[in-house]
Amino acid sequence: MEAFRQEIILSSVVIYMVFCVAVGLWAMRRTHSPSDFFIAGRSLGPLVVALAIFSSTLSGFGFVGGPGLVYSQGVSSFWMIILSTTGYALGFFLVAKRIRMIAELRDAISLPDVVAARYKSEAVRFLMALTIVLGVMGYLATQILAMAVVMKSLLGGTVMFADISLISCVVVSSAVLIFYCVTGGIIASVYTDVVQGAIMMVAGVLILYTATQVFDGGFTEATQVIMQDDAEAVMPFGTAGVIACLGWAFIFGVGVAGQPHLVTKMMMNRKIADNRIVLPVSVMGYAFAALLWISIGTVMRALVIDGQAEPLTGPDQAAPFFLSVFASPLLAGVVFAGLFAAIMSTADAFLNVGTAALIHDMPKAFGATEIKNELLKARIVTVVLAVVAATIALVSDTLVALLGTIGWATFAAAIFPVLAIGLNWKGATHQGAIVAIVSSLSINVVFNVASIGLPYGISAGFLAFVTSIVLFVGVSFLTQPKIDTLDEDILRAMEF
Amino acid sequence: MNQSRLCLVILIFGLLQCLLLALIAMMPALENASGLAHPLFSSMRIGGDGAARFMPVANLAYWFQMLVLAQICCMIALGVRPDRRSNLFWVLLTASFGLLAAAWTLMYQAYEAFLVTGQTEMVAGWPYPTAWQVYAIWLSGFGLVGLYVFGFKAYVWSDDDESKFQALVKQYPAR
Repeated sequence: MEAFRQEIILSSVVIYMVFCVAVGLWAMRRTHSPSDFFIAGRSLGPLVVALAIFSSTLSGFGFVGGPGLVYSQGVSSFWMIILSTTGYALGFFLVAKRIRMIAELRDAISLPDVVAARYKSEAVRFLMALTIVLGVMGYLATQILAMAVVMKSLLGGTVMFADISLISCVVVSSAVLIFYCVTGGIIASVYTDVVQGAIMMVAGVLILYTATQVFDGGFTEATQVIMQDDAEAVMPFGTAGVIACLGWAFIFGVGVAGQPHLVTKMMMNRKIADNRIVLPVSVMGYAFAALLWISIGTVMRALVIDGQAEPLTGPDQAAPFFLSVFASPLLAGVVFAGLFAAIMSTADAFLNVGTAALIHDMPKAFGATEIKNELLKARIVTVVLAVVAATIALVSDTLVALLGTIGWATFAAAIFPVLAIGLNWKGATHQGAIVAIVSSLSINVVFNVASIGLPYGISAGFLAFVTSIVLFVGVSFLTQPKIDTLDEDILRAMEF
Repeated sequence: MNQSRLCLVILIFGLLQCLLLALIAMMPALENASGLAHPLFSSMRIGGDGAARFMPVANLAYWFQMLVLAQICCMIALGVRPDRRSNLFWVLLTASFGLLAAAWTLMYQAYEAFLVTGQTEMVAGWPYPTAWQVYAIWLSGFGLVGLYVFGFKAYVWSDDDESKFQALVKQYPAR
């Protein structure tokens, strides 16, 4: 089997690509309306929603960027994972029930639809849509770049494609992605998520086992090798330090409930009561899949320090290198296929929410009451968005993980207070929502574009998130009207 | 406690977090505060002298995270209808907070002890402080998951809610 390693891995990926095309075509036959295209007609069962939620979280960012971060910064990035259990619980307590209720009451198909109904404000709808488009660009570029990095790594091992460029890989990746998304919409995405989620859970455990076998002394030896080089790298705050880690924990823990690609999936389930099953399945699935993030990054760092592997050209190479060299060919093939699945379905989810923001929410914010040919426009805009994101992926010299972190932080800071707190507090006002979104976008954009650094690794996203919560609640207290101004159905939904 | 009072508490916690971040930002920045380039491998970073960079901000960072955990629990209370927040709910929520806070505190103390002594044991593949991080902090969140799953009908969505919601949907046809 080892003699055919590259062939087995490539075959697995090709079979998966064909599967994606088939799912796209199948889903196209089930997609008859914008509601089908964007939120799967609110018809999904609990297992499908659970797998879709957690596998969207661990996308190309989790599979490629995560191990890369552990390789380059040690344990620091564990803080992006370990508060996820708490963060998911918070998201379900605050968002899952109410977003699903408003979606049904108002026939909402997007997050801006929900906040526009909650705040009776087209300005909030527009700002929410703008946030989504900006965040989607960063995150979508991450997905495409991750897919291209992995494809280049895979094809580079063959004689025929040994010199294939990253640009060619971006083009091929984007082409498959566009076909899959345009034909299938969100239905294709969630059903791929089911396969992907299952693969990720199994792969997480198998990869952990593989990683423990690389050193004779198991995982303990790997961490000891790292510790002898730099003890901080395997101590709880890694090389990035305590404040940077707490920032990541805050953004990735609390911020889960501000991720549009996740909370939109909370609108898709058949019954609200299903959330009782969705939460634990999502949390467990995430925990198993995250083992891949932790184990590959740690072992790759140890291997390079110990001289058993050449230094990687970049941290993003950690996962492809480990899978290509250390995992059994069949496992590597399955994980690579799962990796493509992760990237495809997450990219699809982002294209989906981004497209909804552009063709559904922004026109509505400017007064459009009826949007003609919405499904056709959705498919066209999906192509345009993918091309723009692919271009960003090519011209940006930022790592997969960092692009993903910026996208996640943008969403968390701008969306969490407005959605998670706002859906549960009648006293939240549209002025509070506007100030929170504008302040968080301003801080994120200005600090990242101008590359302004803060002491002790305080990131722009961290600062923006803490600030936006304070401003949202504070401004809402200052601008509260004396009587309830919300629509009766929304008021009553908030009393459940 | 009504929703506005809970939001006031969330605001106060948020303001205290801002204050702590401002105090941290005003401290003299050390060269290795957020890591240094690895001397041998260009794609890696190192932490360097852990005690030098950690001790000046140790207390501020500890209390910042305690505020975050308390804020999370307040937000969870916000997500439950006020008349459903029974004494049992508050006991369970407080116990869940206790679990999160205990895991955080024990990890912190283990790390501080390592910085003082330079010695640590290996536990299930990790140095002792990191084992607290990987196993205890991650698992401590399951208290809140349990509260959601086992208290679902009491605190989140009862059978009666389902029928009332269907009535509401019929009363207000989607627009």
